[in-house]
Amino acid sequence: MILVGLSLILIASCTKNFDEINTNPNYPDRAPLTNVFAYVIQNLSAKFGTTEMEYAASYVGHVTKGTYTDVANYVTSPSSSIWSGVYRATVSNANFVISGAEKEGNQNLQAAATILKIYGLQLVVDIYGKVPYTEAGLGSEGLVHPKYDSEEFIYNDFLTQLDKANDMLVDDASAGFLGDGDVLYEGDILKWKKFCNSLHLRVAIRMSNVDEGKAKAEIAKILGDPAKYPIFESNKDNAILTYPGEDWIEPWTARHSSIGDDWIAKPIVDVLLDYNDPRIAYYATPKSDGTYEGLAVGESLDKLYSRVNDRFIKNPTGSVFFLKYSEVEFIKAEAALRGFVNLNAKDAYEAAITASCKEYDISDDDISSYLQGAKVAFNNDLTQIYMQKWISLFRQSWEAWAEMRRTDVPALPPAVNTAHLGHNRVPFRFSYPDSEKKLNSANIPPDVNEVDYYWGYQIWWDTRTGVQ
Amino acid sequence: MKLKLTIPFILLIMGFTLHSFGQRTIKGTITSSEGEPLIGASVSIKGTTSGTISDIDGKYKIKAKDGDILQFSYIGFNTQDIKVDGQETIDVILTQGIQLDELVVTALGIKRDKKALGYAVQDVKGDEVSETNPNNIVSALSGRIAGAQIVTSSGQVGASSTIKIRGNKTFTGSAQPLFVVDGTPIMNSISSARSSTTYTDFGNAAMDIDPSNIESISVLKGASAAALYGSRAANGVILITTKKGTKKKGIGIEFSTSLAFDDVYILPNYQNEYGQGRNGSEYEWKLKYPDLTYQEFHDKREFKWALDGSGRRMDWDESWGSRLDVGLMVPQMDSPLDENGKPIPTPWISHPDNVKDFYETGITSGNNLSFTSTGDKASGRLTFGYTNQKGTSPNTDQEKINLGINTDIKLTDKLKVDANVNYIQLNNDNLPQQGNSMRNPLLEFNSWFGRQVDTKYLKEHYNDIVLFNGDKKAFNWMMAYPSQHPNPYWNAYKNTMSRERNRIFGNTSINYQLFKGVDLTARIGTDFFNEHRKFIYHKYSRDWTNLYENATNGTFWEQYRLQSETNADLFLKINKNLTDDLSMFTTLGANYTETFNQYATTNGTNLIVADFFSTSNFEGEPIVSFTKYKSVSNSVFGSTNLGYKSFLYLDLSLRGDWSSTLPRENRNYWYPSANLGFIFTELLNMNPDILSYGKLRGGIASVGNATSAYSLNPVFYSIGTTFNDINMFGVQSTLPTYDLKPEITTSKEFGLEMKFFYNRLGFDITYYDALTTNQLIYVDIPYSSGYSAWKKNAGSIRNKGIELQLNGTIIEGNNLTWDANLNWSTNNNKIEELSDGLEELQITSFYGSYSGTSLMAFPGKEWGAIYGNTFARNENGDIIVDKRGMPQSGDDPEILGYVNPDWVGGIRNTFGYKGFNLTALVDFRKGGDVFSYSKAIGQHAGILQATVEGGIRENGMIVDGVYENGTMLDLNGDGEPEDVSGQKNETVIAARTYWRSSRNWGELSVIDGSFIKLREVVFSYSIPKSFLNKMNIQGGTISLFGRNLALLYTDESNDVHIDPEVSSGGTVAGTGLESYQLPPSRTLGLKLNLKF
Repeated sequence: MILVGLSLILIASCTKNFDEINTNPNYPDRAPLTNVFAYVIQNLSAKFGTTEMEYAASYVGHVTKGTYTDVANYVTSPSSSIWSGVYRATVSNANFVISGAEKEGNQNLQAAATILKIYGLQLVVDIYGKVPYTEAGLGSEGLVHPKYDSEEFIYNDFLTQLDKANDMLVDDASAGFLGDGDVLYEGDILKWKKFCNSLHLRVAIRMSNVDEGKAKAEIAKILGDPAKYPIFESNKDNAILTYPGEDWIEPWTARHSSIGDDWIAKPIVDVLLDYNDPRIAYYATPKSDGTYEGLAVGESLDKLYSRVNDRFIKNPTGSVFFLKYSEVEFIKAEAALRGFVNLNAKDAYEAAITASCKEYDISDDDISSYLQGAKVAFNNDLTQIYMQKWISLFRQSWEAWAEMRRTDVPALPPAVNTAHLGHNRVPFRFSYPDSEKKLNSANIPPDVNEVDYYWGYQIWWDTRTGVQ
Repeated sequence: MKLKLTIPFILLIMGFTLHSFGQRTIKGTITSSEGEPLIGASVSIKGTTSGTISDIDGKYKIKAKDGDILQFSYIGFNTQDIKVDGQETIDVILTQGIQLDELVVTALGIKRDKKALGYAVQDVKGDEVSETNPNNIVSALSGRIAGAQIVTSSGQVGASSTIKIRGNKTFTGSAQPLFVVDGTPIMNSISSARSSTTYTDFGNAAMDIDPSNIESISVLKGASAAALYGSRAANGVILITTKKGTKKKGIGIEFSTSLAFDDVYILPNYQNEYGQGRNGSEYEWKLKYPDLTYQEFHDKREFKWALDGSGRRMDWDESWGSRLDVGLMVPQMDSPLDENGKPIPTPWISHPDNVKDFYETGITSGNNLSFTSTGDKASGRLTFGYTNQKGTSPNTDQEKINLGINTDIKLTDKLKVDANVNYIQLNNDNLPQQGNSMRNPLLEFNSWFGRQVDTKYLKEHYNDIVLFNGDKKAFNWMMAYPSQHPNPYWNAYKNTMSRERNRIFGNTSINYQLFKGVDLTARIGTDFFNEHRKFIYHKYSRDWTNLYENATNGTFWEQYRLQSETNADLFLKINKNLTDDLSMFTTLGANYTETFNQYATTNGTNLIVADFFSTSNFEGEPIVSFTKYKSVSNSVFGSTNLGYKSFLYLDLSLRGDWSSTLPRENRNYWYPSANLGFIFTELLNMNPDILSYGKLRGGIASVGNATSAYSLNPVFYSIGTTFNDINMFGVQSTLPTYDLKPEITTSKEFGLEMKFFYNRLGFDITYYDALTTNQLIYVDIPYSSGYSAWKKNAGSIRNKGIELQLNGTIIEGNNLTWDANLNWSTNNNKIEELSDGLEELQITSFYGSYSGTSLMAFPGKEWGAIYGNTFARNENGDIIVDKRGMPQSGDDPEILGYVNPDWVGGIRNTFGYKGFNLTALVDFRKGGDVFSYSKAIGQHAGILQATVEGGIRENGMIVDGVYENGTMLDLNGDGEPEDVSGQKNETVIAARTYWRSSRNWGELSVIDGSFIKLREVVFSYSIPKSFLNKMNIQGGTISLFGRNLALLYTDESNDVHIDPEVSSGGTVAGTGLESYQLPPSRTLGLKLNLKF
């Protein structure tokens, strides 16, 4: 009997091919870098594109809801999908591409992935403030409770990394190819370089109120050496991801097709009407009587208002904007007016507005008459730059929200039926997701006070006072 | 009645009093108490191996000498011992019912004497299960098994039933026991599958088993009983034995036919006072527009139907509109058109039965034919079953064909082979859609439907394609928002999910007797099926997904599934008496298990030729995916049962597994068990008039559990179809770990079984305590790590409980009998530990985006806490309201209930009078909370009775609460606001204002799931033999049966009136969630059984 038992054990313990049996035949344990790179671009755009319509677009007074007004009125806690979709997926996938490209010696790919990572993480910092940065995305190495870094540290590192990325981008086969995965620029290294430095300007201008010296130096450096630091020079350089439609529907359209409750908001309509802005016909759809009327943010629909233009909400092959040329010109205008660089602010201001209008096939005549308009004609007022930037950032609500918090222009009040009384401005930030607070409680910064999910702590670069 | 009890007693006494002589032949007849000869009953001389069986007339002959004790036994009857003391003839009447020596099927299909077992096993007879012709063998066990909780997901065709034995042992996985048919495990995969576009309950695979073909079902509840099945037996084992060829009188043909009718019987409590619209209550009218008539007020603001988009509020899908049945005239979908094509207003009236009207009477017909034959060398049974079911949901159906062959052949005295094969064909032209999806009609009915809608009109016009704002769309009661609110009939007839399954399971074994008492068995069994699923989506459908935009000519999704499980066993059985007093029964063996699943799925975006559903017709390339999963395990096992005299039994077992799914170093794991049974009545020599049987038992065992295939290495997932011609790959968001260990459940159990008054009354009570450690769970990690979860051995759960069975023969007369059985069990579940210092583990998010309700695990608490938002309350428990009179929300989520019941049970009474038999089964549950979507959203949308109760839509309402601190209001009317902090709320608000915010208070939608149900009633009549015999029929019964007859009790918190017995999907995570559950059905049927 013992013999029988022993021989059975001997047979059973023969597990020679078990490793092979347990090797996943369905999904590879490795992937070409360029295919992951494509995912980083697409995922980033899809995630911030979808959430911006729900949250930031209403904060900045561009788009609001008529029926499902809870989000606009801050009734519910903020969605965690930026944290899970933009932040998590970007760091883990971009890290994979960056380290893989480094191993392969593909410095162009390494740089391009770094730029996207910074793009995504700036979005995250601007929404949340302090976040894990140096230790983020290292779960695969066993680091599952990353520590938090300050915005100041992260922003400064962005500048360093972008400098490095700019140096690494070399339009030469020896520096590597981006491959078919570059769905943004189809492997055009010069355009990546321009994107890199334009993003550099965005980062620098954002910190200009809190660390003016650094911002000034960085902006002067970029604008002072166009050969070394090329930046966007026309709308052709825009970092825009155009969706193919069918299975990949542009996020605003995808979002709208499910509920269809998106209306153009009163603040932007009022300003466009007030400024006699030709872009109104491209941002909105008139009511049946041909006029435009925006719905107040947070208000429930009591009649029909103007809708968001079909190009944004009924356009499966529409685009998501990462960064546009007009923004670069606005930054130049601001930098000139604030004396960071020796440039003509008016030229940049007008170039910016012109670039923005040109995105919509607005005729040169219409643009030039618009530029003469009473409230538009430049009179060396920073507020004008900020207002125009706010108008031009339609469909880039996250950036518009960050700039509103930096500049306090326009100083929009909270939604009309706000769930949280006692505030005089739209939200300052998102509270950290519950999951992060629970799972990484030891590292959550104790000095970030969160009021009503959306207020309390102001992001490092938000130097406004008297706001609450 | 007295006579029956006394006959065996007299025989027994005779045995002691008569003198003994030498060996001679003793003859006799063995009959049942009904006088039926018992064929094949065994007669043996106790303590020897000599014996015989009775023939076709129940007659036997045996050589014995005085002083020998003859033992008469027959499966399902009480064994009798009679001492030979001078008799020539010993006629024996064996009594049915509660048995002393019960043979039960245990692990590996080995029949064991129940008294020799040290653990709890519960038996259910096949006839008892099949008498109501259940569609699902699992649901037929409801109320019959102490310690098991059975939940049937709905009353629709193909609905899955889940069974959970002795509580949840796992955090997130499946709690389903292992199903074993005739010794070989079969698959019971529960597939509430979602494709990218659908959510369909494809049932649990064990529902394929034909109930008419079942001889008996044994339920092995604890780890002890299960140790020999290894890993997958940690949740218990359901052992099913099918009918075999046995000697029967007559030609061996059995036929049964049944016809049953189903009707939905639990529907929510809808209001019937207000129709759809935005803000049309009488309260709003009187408050804001007192100068208008109600009709004028309605016309200014509320629901009007139109096809050119000019209708006001026709897009408002909530039921906060104008009052019904008060004479309002409103343009509606069924309004006639004037010469300009504008709808002419028609009466705005309620349709109280508009949901009920959607459902139809389901019809199930079942036919079963079997042939049995027995010879000296071979016996066999052939069955053929055909069931056809038309569901209560329109256009749903099921057709099932069962074929079974069960044979055994005795090649020599020592060599036997047997084989059984079952073939099942299952077809559904359409299975209903369910869950939180607009393809589930209940999502509409319970939330976004209107009480003013005439269902009949919807049905008559579902196929109409109308022009809405210039676009062609399928007709519906609301036309705006074309991507939402599909007509339920359109979905039922146009967007269907079909399924065909072909399945074979069975095994073949060869048994050779090496020596006397030692035999070797080799057995190979397999369960294999392929299944085809196809979802079609027609042109003009309204849909909330991208399909609406993209599949303008229709689309479809199709999947082929191939699943198999193969088991090969080799085992040696040694049955030997070591000494006169010490018997031994030993099994040594090895097992090889291989599971293999493969899925091939194809879908596409749009069709070229509208509504032609073939891959050749996809615009562009179809999306195709093939995936497969394979795992293998090798095992060795041994068990030995030692019996001392006939009162003390020791059972020892040990199993070792090698699993392919675990890392190399942890691949092998062992688990032992030990059990002791002590029949103290054998020692005490009690008077059987009072205490007839008593047994104490106890045991300890552990069972290991491996993990699923491919859990060890990270992979890259392909992200959808190509994006601008590039395939995208993403890093897996969950981290694997490299040192996974098997999960181990260690359990202890103790039991006491006693029978009194000649077995007229008995109980069996079991206490168990099972600790499951090394739980394999996905532990959430901060997203900032770049990943979302980590698969780990991280946690332990303890389940303690008591199971009780009571059996009694209350009346046993010549004409009248009354038997009663009670099953009752309670399980106490506690999470002992979560690793990594985790303070909580989210099992699933029930209802993420609004009220944040989820199913949680907290250390030190019971598994399955419903966790969600509450009202803010002061220290007295009063709800705090703000100055607008609206309740405030609590700061943090709280535990709102626990999904596991406090106790469950069932009572079964059987009455017999002459040829009539009446059985009634009532089952009940105490506790077990449910989070109800129907309630949460139905309240929000104003469609439930609670939202009109007490005239709140006419007069407004005052929330029962107190003002929050710092509230300044002019309550005393002096024109100056005063501080009313803490005072009772007096502010009147609109019902709509309150209820539309109610999703924020998850506590409002948690229901106590206690219930009492009249589960089953069977009234049968045995047709008199005198009548049947003329037609050469051996026996016949005709029965009237009912299932799910009434919900006798439900808790008052269930004011929405859903079926409190709900689950969503087959994993434990679906427990306690009501997600627009399809309504259950009440079944009434007629069945005829004939034996030839």
